[in-house]
Amino acid sequence: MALNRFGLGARPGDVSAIGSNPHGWVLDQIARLQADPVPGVGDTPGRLHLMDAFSKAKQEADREDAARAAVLDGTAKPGAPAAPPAAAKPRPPILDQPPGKVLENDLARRIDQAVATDWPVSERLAAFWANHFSVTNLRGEIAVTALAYENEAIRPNVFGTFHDMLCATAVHPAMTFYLDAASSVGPDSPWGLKHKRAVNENFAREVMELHTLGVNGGYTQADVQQLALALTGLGLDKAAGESAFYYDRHEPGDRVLLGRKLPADGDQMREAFAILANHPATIRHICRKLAVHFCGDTPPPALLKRLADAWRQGGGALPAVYRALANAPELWVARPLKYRSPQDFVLASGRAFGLHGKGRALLEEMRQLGEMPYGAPAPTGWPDQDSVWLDPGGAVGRVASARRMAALAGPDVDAAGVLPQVVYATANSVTFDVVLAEPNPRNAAALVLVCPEFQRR
Amino acid sequence: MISRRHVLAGLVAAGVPKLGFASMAARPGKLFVLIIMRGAMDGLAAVAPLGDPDYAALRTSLVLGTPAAPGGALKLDERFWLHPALAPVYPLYGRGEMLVVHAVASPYRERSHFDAQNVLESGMAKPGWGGDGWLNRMLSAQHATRVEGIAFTPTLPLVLKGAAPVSNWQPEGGPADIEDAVAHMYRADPVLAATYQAGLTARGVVDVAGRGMPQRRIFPSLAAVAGKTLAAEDGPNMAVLEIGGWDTHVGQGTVKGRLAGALGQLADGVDALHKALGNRWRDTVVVAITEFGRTARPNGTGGTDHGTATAAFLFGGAVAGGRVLADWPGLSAPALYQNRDLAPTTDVRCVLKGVLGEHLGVGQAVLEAKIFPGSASARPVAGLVRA
Repeated sequence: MALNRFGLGARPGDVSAIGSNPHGWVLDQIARLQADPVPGVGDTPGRLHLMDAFSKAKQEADREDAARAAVLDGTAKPGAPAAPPAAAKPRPPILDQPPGKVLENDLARRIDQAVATDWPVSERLAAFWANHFSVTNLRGEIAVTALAYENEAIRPNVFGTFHDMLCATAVHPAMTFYLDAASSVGPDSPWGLKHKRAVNENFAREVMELHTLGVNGGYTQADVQQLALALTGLGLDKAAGESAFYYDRHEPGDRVLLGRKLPADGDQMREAFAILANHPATIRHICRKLAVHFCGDTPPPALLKRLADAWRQGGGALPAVYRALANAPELWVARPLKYRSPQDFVLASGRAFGLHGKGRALLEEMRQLGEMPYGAPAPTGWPDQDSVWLDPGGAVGRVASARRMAALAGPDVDAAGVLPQVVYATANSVTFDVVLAEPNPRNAAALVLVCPEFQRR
Repeated sequence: MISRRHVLAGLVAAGVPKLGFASMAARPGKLFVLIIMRGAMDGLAAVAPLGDPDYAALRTSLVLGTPAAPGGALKLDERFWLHPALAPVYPLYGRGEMLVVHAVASPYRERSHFDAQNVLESGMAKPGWGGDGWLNRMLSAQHATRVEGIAFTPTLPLVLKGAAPVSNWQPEGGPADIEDAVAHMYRADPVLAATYQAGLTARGVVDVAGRGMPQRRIFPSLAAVAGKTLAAEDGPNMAVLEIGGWDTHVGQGTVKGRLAGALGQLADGVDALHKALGNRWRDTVVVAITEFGRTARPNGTGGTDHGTATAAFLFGGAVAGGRVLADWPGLSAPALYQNRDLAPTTDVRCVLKGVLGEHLGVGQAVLEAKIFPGSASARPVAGLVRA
């Protein structure tokens, strides 16, 4: 049960490896310094330079294509530079690395890591936070840096403090690109006056509504504007491929955020995040999200109170909150508490049948089932409620998905042997009967993945 | 009353093959499509009040091109002009099959997308007041015993959630030779069983209706499949579609740009729906609504931030259209809501109640007690539908 509720789904053999101490296993899983980085991603500046090189090569190739086309259809201007014939010049290899493909390769590696890892709780938490501080693949710069963002801003802080994670995500180029922070300029700053630019409140609103206080966190439209002004100056140094702070774009003057003064001569961004990170509304909002993630749509108030207490006692250190979750009797009940989201369902399927190195195909399943990582339609990230994912289209879609994933497992899969290793408890015997009675091994494996016990954790 | 899903579940349990929609109760003959434009559409850009004296000074960089120029706005009346990206639906306006309601908003007055969509779909006055949606409550009030509402969306939207049997559908392929085994396993889990059966039902009817059509997850393609499904002899009566791309904080653009792209998708989708519905278009009302509008002035980045009132569209052969309905508040600084947004003068529930009442025959008392509770002051707009 612990393997499914806290982890990413049991692998055959996991249950016997944990033995009689699942609670100790969970505590061991959260006694870490950081979540493992996703391999093969590289750093943000490197990725942004790659993106730059791709854009230049693409422009060049497009220009040459157009010139060749113009010659062919006779519309070339006299004296226009002739493009080399298509065959004369090898296609630059970087053109085979468009941003969307870079992201898919990165995600495939993240999935491979999640399928194989011995640290599934850590991977689950990393994905939880990456989705909390969600960025969506809306443009090339975000696609190529999304997993670098996860490696640099999320994963090092999964076992750190919420405050550090908030600051790291807020100033990362991926977030800056996503929520338009770089284009928000103090209207009365030297740069703003000269270029007649103004603020854009998108980032400030989402920081308060989504990342920290929550939608009912007691802030006003005036607070949104004050925070937006306090954050002006954050920008991108394109040459360095990194974020930077431009003092000449920062709005001069004092700000007042949630009744607290941010003096003009201070670091208003730092002070604003300090106020937000451990605000009572933030603690309430984040503890609730964590509780929903582990114990379902309506977490008991007593549990929420214990999580908030653990947050305060630990000064915002996240492991204290995780320990409070691991120690919660509400989470050590036999009945399942949560319907698996599509990503959860696919990863658990990969672990059940040892689908190693199939990250690319598993990513496609997540897309088919409507939960593409870094593809959330809004900055809320993907929702985490049963009431969202348990629906008719999804239930039917999972059967098709299970059939495709069962095919990945190969023809010799022992479905009846895997079943008791990956679903908790003796299950209702109907599931066992149905799986045993299925003569086609691939269909039997698909039935393991769609059985009722496998849909919940 | 035995619900449709119980009947189906019983049939599957007894080993009888799945049923489609045949042998159902007579259909009332009216079709309804709801398009949710998620992300907050800029109503002042989609339906631009070029005739308002304060428009040009207020909108500055977002002013639409002069009407006479190619790619310019399309005239609706003396005050309102349609964004050129909506050109594919402009002929509908001329035929009286398109109606615009302007300065419209839900009762929600904050600026969170997520709460605003919750209000728009729950039909309640405040976010989080209801776990079901107004369209489902309407089906319940009509005692729907079969799947009458299908959302062509990856997950079931709140507006269609609730006690009445509904379903959602998305393109996927592959044979399903283990369906009976799955249904058998799910018998012990009533929630899963009912959900799965609703999914099978939708797939059955959509697959038949949409046979041979391209199945892609883009709005015009989903709209075409929805149209075919509604037009099918034994199809459902209601469809829900959603379309994104409206949250134009940056680079909103005018004739070209992010907003033009989203509007073009919307127009292509309505056009596809129109074609797919065939002669059932005359029985159809399509309502396209969004959670709120955007700031009346451009922000610092060539876009607009979250605002309040916006525009809503009605399309369909049953619409008494060819006009813009607006209690126009004006665009002078004091007329703006909080000196920032287009002020709301029409509650979107007035529009929805008008359509549900006149087009689908829902009684006034039911509308107020069950479908839009607490909306007594939001009187239904009369005459939206052809007599």
